[in-house]
Amino acid sequence: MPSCKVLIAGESWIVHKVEAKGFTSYATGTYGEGHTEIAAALTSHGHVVTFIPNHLAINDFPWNIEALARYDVVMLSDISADTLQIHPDCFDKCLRTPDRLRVLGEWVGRGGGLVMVGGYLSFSGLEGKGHYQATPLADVLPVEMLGYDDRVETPEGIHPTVDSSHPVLDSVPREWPHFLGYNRLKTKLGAEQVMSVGHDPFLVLGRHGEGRVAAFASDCSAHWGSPEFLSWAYYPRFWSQLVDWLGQGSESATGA
Amino acid sequence: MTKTKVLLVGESWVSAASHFKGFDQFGSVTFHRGADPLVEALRDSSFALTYMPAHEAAEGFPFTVEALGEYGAIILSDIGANTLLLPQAVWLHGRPMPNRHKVIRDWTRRGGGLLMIGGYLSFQGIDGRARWHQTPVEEVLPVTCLPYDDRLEVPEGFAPQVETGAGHSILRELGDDWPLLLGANEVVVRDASDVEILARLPAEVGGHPLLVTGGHGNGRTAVWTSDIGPHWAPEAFIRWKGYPTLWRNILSWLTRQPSW
Repeated sequence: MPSCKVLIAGESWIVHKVEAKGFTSYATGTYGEGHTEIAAALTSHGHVVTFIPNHLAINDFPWNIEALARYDVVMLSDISADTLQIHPDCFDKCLRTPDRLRVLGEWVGRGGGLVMVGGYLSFSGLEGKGHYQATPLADVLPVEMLGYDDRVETPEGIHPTVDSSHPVLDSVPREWPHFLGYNRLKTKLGAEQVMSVGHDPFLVLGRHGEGRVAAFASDCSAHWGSPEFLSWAYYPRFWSQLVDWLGQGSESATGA
Repeated sequence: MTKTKVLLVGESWVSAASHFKGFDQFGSVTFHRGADPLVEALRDSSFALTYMPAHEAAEGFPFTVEALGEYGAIILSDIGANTLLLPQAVWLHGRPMPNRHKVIRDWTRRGGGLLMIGGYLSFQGIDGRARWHQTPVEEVLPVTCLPYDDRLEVPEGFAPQVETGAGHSILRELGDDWPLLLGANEVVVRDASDVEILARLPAEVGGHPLLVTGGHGNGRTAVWTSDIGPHWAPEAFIRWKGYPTLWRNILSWLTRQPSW
């Protein structure tokens, strides 16, 4: 399988924490990234990963098809639609700016590979803040989104199940580690629900134009992705095979 | 055997975190208890511990020396001076109330055992917000506080320098090889005949006091300038076999248990 150039956007956060002890409080700040495991997994299978954290994605996420063409697969993970749709030029200066989600959808239509990985700011997300249901990607992704807070928190752990065999699951056991939550989605007509979690879809694959799309309902990192999943021997193989499959759209589109 | 009552005040906090991810922001709230290792260390000891978290202390901490009389020792740990100065009656209603710093001082003078343990809201604390400098509580401690942020952050860790030569009963069965600590509050030792330094930070991080004993009137006082748990006292320190011994020894000495 040829290696894919993968763009991972999201998976980072800045936390401002106020600690109140009795009458007195003080504040601390931290910056965190959640892409470590998945980037290492893809790299270990020969893929080439570029990571754009949330605070940089506002400016640096590709603005046009040409910039996206440097990649075979785009992974959006825990990055809200607002981050990519509302640039400060638009929000503060009232200037017209490209809708990067529409651009991304067009790129997929021409053969790009797109996967959305679940999280608090994926799909509809926490308090609906993911907000993808009202964007051009709603027509591109293989799932329907709720529009409102779509989190299913499973603190006791829940094991996804494999519904059908598929190349992305080759040599991956049917018994998966548990997850601590996921986004509730609905598989679109014509898409392939490869895995389920409870009564909901877990892994859904589909096509959009010449491109391939996927929705992974839970997280590739903490906390929904349990330590058992992140350290699972098949974690690198699964993500790598998913990227392999997604990347084949661009291969055929370019005639390679 | 009747157990000696000990009141632990503080060691709890509520944190409100704002998470920023690109354009979006959401909040989360957590309640933390920092005293669990100490509570565990005193289980099945000769001490009966009452744990009063910081949010209960403003109203719940006793207002009179008599009410404190049931306790043999009080531990102030990671609780700022303001919490005891400003109960709702004062802060919200402008009514005078007893100054509990003076209550603690007077209770100590009459024979109570007072221990202050370090932390972000002990001694002068982070940003100077603990604010025990020039209070009646500082008056009875064997150390004085700096007037500003007094944190000594030692991320590489330091090995406590134990003054075994002091022959102090608090050091019984503790040896001189203690696990690493990651920080402490900087304090100044009082120049008084009954003040003893039992452990210090190493000279290369300033040689500041870590464990100091003293007295006030009929009472005994002590300070431990590092924390009782993470992050200044890391997991390895809590799991150290000397950890329960350290606290039991300090409390035994403070409360004048037989042979102490």
